[in-house]
Amino acid sequence: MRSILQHLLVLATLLVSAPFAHADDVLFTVRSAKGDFPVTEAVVEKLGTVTYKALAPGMDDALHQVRGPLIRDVLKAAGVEGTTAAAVALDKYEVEIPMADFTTLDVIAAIEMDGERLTVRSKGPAWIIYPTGKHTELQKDPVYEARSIWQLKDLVVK
Amino acid sequence: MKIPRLNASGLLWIRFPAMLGLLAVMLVVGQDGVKKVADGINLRLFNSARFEEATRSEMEFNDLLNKAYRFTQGDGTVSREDVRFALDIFWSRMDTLRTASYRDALASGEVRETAIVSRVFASLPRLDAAVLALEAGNPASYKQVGDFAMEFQAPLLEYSDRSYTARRNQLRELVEKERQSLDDLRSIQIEFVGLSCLVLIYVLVELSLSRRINRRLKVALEDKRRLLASDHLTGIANRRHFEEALAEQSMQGSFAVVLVDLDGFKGVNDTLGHAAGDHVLKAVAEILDSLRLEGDIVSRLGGDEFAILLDGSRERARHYAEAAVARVSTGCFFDGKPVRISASLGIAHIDDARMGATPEQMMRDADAALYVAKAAGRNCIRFTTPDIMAMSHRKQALQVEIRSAIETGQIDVAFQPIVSLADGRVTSLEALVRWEHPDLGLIDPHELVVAAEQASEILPLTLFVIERACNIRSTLGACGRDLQVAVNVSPRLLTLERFSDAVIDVVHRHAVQRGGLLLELTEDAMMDESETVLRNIEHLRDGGIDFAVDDFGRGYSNLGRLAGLEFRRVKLDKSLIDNVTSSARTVDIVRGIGRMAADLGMDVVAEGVETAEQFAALQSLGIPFAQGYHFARPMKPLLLLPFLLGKPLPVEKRTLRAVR
Repeated sequence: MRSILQHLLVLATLLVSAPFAHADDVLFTVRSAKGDFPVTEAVVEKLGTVTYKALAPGMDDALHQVRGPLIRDVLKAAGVEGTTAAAVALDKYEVEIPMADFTTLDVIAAIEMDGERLTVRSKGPAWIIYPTGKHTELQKDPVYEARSIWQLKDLVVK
Repeated sequence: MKIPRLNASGLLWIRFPAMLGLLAVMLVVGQDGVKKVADGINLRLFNSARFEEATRSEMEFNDLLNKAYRFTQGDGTVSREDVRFALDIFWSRMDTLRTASYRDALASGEVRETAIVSRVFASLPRLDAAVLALEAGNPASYKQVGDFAMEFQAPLLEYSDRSYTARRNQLRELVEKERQSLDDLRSIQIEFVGLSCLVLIYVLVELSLSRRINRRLKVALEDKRRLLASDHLTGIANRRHFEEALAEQSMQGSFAVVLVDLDGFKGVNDTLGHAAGDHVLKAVAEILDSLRLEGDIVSRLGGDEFAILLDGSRERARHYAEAAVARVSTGCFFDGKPVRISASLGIAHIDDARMGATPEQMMRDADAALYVAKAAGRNCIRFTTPDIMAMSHRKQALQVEIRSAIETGQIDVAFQPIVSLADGRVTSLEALVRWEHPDLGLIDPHELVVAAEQASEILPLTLFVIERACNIRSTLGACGRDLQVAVNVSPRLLTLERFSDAVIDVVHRHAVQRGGLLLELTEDAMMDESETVLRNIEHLRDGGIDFAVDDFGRGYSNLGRLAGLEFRRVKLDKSLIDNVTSSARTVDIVRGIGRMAADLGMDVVAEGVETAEQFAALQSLGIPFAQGYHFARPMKPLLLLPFLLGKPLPVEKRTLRAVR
């Protein structure tokens, strides 16, 4: 009986917590010599987001409506500068991205795709997306596909 | 001489296009290599993650199982959240691997077991429920997850292994590609080196070609220079070369200017023909050249004149000259026949030259010395002496001044009356040119004519005299005296095409009647009866101008010529008149000529009558006319007019200086 109750409690907690994001939930962390800067829902709320259509490498070949904060805004908020950023994913995938990408292109940390919040299962909660809808020359470019890292955990600025 | 052609090799023109073509080909090949290398890089980047992710799926599945197991075993270090997170990661992986792009990528690596992914994904909700049912510290709650593992672990491992192998193969291929790229890079490098070598070789070839062309041009220019500087007949230097060398000759050095003139060369040409003449010139040139030493210039100035710029002492010049005269005088053979020839030499050595002399002056001095050598009987040499140089200098001065002397009136004309021996009347006048030089005094008329001829002023001088002659005729005509005026003409003028026109022009301007002007030609004036001379004489005669033979009886007197050309008058030379009172033989000759002339319808005038005895003798011989001091000296117009219009003859007053 106790176990059933416990079971139900856990289930209820999960049901409540899963679809609704909390203000202090960490999406990913900006790391640098200055320390860590957790990018929370509140930070994103404050910075604001942009929305555009872009390819989601690793999903399919269709354009998707993506939304999220500009990486350069995030980095500015974190107060970090550098030449490259090492992006690390939850599945331990790692890739180096030149910081110039963020200043010359509207690269975002997508948190929503086609109106749905991204979860770990759907390659969230944050997915670096290049504006391939606007810059079609970037489409299918292995360099940019490799940099479009999902399940972003850390952005280590060097 | 053959001028070398610059495009000696027919293939040369193609070398530039060929070079460009080769360059283009090598560039294209190089470009191809670069493209291959770049494609290799792209391929390397392509989906290296795809196989890795497939391989990871099995690890992630094991991680999930591991965590689930430990959780149910009551391992406090593993929370429900950890298990759930591992499931989410696995879920997401399966979701990714089932997409078309991953399936295709894996299929390209011979991974055929992709169906397992779809099966696993389809079963994920079941796994989700199993994970949800896990209870911490309750090993029995692991059963559902364990069943799931039993079902899928083996095929997932298979799938993962396959992907791993595919990845390894891919990596091997990438290494192959890498090596290929390295080879491509190396061949690009070789191509680049080849390209550089090609360009280098091309530049070197061009350089050597241009050097060769340059050398040939130099040779051609040298040949041309030699050709321009040499005499075409004899092969020795020509006048141009000699004059250049002379102009460059330093007056500090020791040298001599030697002029050579062949004696009797005209005779060789006339009697043996021009071929013989050319042969003689070649032979002489050979002799003069054989005596040449380093630094000497042996040249032919033209005709039978040679000039040598001789290096060294006066003694050497003498040796050279004597050897030349000796060897030339041995003569030569033409057509197996001996040709007699000799040479006269004039030598101006720097040691004899005056202070401040120029090479040109030395040339004139040598010419004067040559003149003296000729006068001394030919076949000899003469060095310049102070006298000769003075003479040369004087000649030069006269040549230079002659034009201005005409313009300033230094050169003037006097007229000597010719009288009829029968009644003492003046019947005509002879115009005689006079040059009263301010420094040199009165110039001998013969010297004046020679100077005028050498200065190319003889035509203006003669026209000037004719002009004056026409003037005096007009003046006298106005006073009622119509007198013929005679003017001496240098034989060379008749060889000028425009001579007759120029004379007739003057005659017309002064409206001189026919027979009003008479031109006196000396015997040797008729040396050359060329077409031009005959045409001039004919044209002048048509223009109403008479001709006279001057100085008849001096030198050769060619009676045949007298008959051939219709002369109006013959003038007996003064040498005959001088002897007419003393030599019976001369008397006979004078009488004979007088009769003959009369028979030919010519007037006879005795020149240089100075005494009453001569006058009487000539009268008795029936000579109709005479001129000379006995009657009147040459007079300037100012004295002539009162003389002609007033006093009767003979004149006793001798106020004027005689010029002949």
